[in-house]
Amino acid sequence: MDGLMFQHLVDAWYDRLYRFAFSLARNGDDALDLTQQTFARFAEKGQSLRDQGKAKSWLFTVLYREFLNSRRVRVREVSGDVDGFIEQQPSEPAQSSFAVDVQVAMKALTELDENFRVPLTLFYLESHSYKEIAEVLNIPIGTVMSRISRGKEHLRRKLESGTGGAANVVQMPPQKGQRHG
Amino acid sequence: MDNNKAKLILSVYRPSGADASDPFFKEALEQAAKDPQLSAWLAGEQQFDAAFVHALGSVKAPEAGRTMIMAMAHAPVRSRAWMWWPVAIAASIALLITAGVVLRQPSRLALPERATLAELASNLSEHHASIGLMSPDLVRLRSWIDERGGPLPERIPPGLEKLAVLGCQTWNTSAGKVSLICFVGESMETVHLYIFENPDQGLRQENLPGIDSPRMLQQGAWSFAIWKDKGRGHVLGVPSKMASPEKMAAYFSI
Repeated sequence: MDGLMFQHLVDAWYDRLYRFAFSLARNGDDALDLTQQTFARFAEKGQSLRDQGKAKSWLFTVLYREFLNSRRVRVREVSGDVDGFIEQQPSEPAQSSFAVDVQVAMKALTELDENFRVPLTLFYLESHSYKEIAEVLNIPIGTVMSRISRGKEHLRRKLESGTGGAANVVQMPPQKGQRHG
Repeated sequence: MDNNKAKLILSVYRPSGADASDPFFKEALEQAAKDPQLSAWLAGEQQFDAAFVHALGSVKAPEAGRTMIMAMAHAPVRSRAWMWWPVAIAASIALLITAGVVLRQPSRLALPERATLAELASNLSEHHASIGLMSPDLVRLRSWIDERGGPLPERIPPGLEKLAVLGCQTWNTSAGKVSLICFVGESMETVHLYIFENPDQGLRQENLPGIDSPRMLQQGAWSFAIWKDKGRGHVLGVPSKMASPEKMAAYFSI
């Protein structure tokens, strides 16, 4: 396939594919294996995918299937330790009145049941619409909506119950100009 | 539309605003604009979502992985022929079944008889190259090969050991068991290390040097360094167009 196109796709999607893989596998080694296998598959079959929009869905779908296949042949121990994979917090905090420690948030997300974790991760990558999430996971749109909505409720409960440490959940004062309810 | 339905719809509305033009959300957004309670709920939901978008975006993707993927794309086309072998095998099996042939067990990979290690390595690289496991972790690769009974190198040349690993494979061949560990060089060149379990069996007799003074030669499109260590034959192969005597020597220097 065209080397420049491949480079472009790697530049565009490597980070987010790895994050999706990390959320699925819950350890860095398997996440990297999954990401590499996905691009290997693309290098093999990508000639028929000139449309980058389709390539994105294709990459995420293949990565998800690779994960399902790899899980069938082996069960690896899940370390549950995400700290080593989190970048240092930027000096500017996220512009949100809801703040939660990044490690705590990731721990809560990776501990969610897979049925909720997978669509929620795709949603939080922000690169997929609800329709595209349904396409990648091969489930109806209504199921995507239901799982994302319920997944968020599970996340809230985890944070509030102290699974991730209630003390780590902070309600920051609203930023100037933000709407109040 | 009641507020419960509006909330279900708006729960998949991305906080970045990427869905702003999607008509699917229009009615629910309009309702939120009119209903202070729903508006407050949406604001809280978006702040909650933004925190998780931020957290997920903080997960580091290793640069070494990106480098290895690009090396894979730059590898010689023939070396990616492995991608077609499952299809070829499936087609072959289908033909044999059609012909009424019962396969009792898979045959060994047939390699040229009475060949040198360099000829076998060249043959494997050109016609049978495949990667059974892709991983940047040499320990995992060793474990994977070992689980399949493939030969492992006792010692890896010091310059080679510094390179990033890409993946591995192992075969049961007519010349005995053979393993392959793929590395990625500093110039993004693919570096193959073949390990032959018994280089004295079924091969042309060669007086192989030790790891400290490997024999350098060119065979087809590949430049090779060959040595014997702990009874096993080792062949380090690099595409000739990316190899130079200095570079080959560097794989063995500390």
